[in-house]
Amino acid sequence: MTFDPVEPAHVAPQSLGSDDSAEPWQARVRESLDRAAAGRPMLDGGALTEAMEVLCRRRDALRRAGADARRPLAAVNALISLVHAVHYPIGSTPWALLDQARGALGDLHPSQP
Amino acid sequence: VPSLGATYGRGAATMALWDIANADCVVVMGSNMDDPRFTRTSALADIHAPIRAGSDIAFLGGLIRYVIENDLWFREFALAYTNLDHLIEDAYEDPEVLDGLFSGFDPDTGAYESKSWQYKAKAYTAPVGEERAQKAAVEGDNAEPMSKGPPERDPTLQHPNCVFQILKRHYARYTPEMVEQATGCPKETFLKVAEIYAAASGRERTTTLCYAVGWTHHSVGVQIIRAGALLQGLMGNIGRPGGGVMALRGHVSIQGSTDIPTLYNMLPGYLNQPSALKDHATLERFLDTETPATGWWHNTPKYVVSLLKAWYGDAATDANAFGYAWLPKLVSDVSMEPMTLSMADGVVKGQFLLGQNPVVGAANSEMVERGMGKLEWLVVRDFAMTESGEFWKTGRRVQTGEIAPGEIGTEVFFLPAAMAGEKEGTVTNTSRMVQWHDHVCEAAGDSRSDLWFIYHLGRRLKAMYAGSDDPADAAIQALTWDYPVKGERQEPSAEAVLKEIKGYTVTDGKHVAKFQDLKDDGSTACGCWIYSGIFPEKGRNLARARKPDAPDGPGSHAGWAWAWPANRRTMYNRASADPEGEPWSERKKMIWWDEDQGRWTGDDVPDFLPDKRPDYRPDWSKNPKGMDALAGSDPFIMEADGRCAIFAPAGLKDGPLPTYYEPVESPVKNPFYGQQSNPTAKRYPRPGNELNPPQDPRFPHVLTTYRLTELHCAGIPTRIMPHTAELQPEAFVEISPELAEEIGVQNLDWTVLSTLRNEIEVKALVTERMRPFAVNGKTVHQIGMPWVFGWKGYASGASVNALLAISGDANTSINTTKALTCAIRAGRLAPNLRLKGDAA
Repeated sequence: MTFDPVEPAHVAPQSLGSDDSAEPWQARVRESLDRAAAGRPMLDGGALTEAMEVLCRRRDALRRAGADARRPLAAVNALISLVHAVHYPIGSTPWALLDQARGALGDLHPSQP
Repeated sequence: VPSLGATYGRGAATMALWDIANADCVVVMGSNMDDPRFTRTSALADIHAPIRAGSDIAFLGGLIRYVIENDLWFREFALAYTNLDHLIEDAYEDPEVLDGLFSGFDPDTGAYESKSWQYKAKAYTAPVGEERAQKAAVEGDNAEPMSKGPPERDPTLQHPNCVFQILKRHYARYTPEMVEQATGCPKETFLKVAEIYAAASGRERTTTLCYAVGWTHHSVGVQIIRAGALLQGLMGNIGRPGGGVMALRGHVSIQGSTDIPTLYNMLPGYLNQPSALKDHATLERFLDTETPATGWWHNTPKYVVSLLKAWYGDAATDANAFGYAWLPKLVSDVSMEPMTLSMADGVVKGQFLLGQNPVVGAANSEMVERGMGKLEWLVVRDFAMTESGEFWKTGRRVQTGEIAPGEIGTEVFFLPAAMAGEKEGTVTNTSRMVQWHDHVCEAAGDSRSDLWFIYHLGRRLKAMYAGSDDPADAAIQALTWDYPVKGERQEPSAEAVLKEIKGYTVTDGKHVAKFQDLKDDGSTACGCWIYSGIFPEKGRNLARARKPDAPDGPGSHAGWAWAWPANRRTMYNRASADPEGEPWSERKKMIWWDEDQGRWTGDDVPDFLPDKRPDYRPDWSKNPKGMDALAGSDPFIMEADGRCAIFAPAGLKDGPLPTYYEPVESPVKNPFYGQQSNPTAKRYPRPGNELNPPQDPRFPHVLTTYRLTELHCAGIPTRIMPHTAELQPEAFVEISPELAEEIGVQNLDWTVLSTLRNEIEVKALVTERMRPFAVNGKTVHQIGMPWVFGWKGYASGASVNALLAISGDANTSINTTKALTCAIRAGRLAPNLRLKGDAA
């Protein structure tokens, strides 16, 4: 029984589009997280990086929006924490948190800023 | 920290530097002697044993097998003071059976479930590290707390699942022939080392084992150190004059930086940082999961509550669990390597670099620059401008045309830093010794101390958040930040900070004399419990003490500065006496039991309860806790069973015994097992950070990196000084004459080194210090290059860290810098890819 965690051929980063992409940011994050989940048990760092980049752009936009965006900012920050926990685990890969992130994403209304 | 901590109980050098003089043999590995290269230290040694970089566990495993098979281990010591006779769970399976894996490995999570490594039917908790919190997890259906009774033992050592038998089977294949096959070290040289080491260990003799980052910076760094530590335990070379493990820290106060940590996963004094992924939601639950039932760590609540009182002062009350909710809770690995990658992903918005130059000193320089280029702001504090401070202007990506300065949005602040003589404070050296240094003269211009910077930054942050109603800001609002300042520059008092660190009683502010006086009821405050005692009363700062022993004195130099814990110079020194309390030998005596006084006495501060009789035995009918559960003959008081952990039932993420794996990049197949490399090592594959595949013919050579005596760390303090720069004026790569001939270069010819990450050009130093190894039936060339160069200062040249990938040890995330693969060819890079240094 051996285990070689060398990652399969890396998937080249896809175009993420700009912040004003017609596609809701939640959809883009979901697509990346779904891809990461499908790659289990291999940790698809590329997919998680893509999800994180979209989430961080959203976070930065909400930061610029100021105090009015405090609640959605907290939600996006929580998502960032979950994805980061999967991407850079302290010990074993916490796949349950990836599912949790996908679930949390589903709870957000697409129109949420 | 995790290796020495898991083995002995504390993650620090066990002895004083000067105690090396008491050793009958000194073994230096991963630090210039048992080294891939023949160094100046090697020239002073009786034996130089060259080994291929990264093959240390094969060599150490060979030593373990040698002393077992030849019955040369210190039987009385190891039987009494280690867990050799403890029984391990029936479910445990060894790499002998699983071809390189331990039982419990889960390919889905890439990690081990360590229940099968436990003492049989017991819930042992490790003394340090994140895994200590597994207490709740291991106290399952069939496992009882350590306070219910000692682990099951077989003093005859015949039980197939006792630690001794497991150890014997585990290392049976580490024969001298296999050592030679894996390391390239001639069998005869290995056997000579083994014979001398074994002869210099035992009742009458001791051996010191020294190591440095040549052991640490590997994908199995923690397990390399573990192998050395358990070997020393087996040989009785611990807690005795000249017997110990000397962790040679890289530079000033590295030990201090883990004591009061810059590590992301620890609080001061090796307390675990709370985690959102563990049962840490409240202080009560945190303390319940983090407090072992037995051993000294049973005092954990006193240290945690006192720390919270030191940080949050009057705002920390019993009613709000002393402000526990304000402590950040971990969710992920936020050590340096993931943070670098997270910078590139846009997660991190700002970075402080205090005396650090990662564009030169960190792995994968280009990835570091890419991350910095995504930041909103970067603060660099150093003696002089660094490559990191100017990455946006003269960095690798800018010089090679990948990006223009105008495309980098990072706002960079360079703040000049004061040097040692320009500020007061302490340094904690490699022997845990804390030494005070005075302010001698004012720093020039705008240069300020780090303490000044941190204090005034905190003061301004508190002012900014003073009126906030956001709960996220409450921690800053509650923080005590009241250090007195002096002079025109408003320099904070370093002594006031030390007073907070060493502890005081809350009601009257009086000094806490020792950590035994700390309480868990909020009546004491202490910033770092292990430093308690350094300032026992007003006006007595023992870090200032400067009274060495006379030549005929005890030799512990207890009057020179102060060493944690409790000014003990040799930790675990109860082991210097036999179970009855008598010295093992007159020649190697250190502390012993004085029956008349009813106390331990001798040449050092006892690392034991001073009046605990050697014949004390726990009364298990009373469910004893803490130190009551350890016998008077259990020297390793931080361990839950008081024993040196030859087998580590918990606390490590990659196995209870060190096992040989090839580095994550290696030109050869693992000769020991089918498992090629550490399955739990941290890998971060992404464009620009790909690993060279094992045995890839494109990268046939082993590359190792190291420092130079003349240039300090990432170089800036010494590269900008003409008198040190001229000692090593230019970057170079060391190659053997055989490899030079193979690639067609002569001394000082240009070469190009390449990995999947990058290429650099550098002049060749052709030297017999480097030699090819015969490894696993093939010739392997090893290449060595100092990592201290960059493009600033008088001595400039390629930064070898541009070639490295970001990867890490499973326990520490420490990067692999000592053993990777590369290619080398004669010639130079294209002109547009050549970096220009200041000197040019």
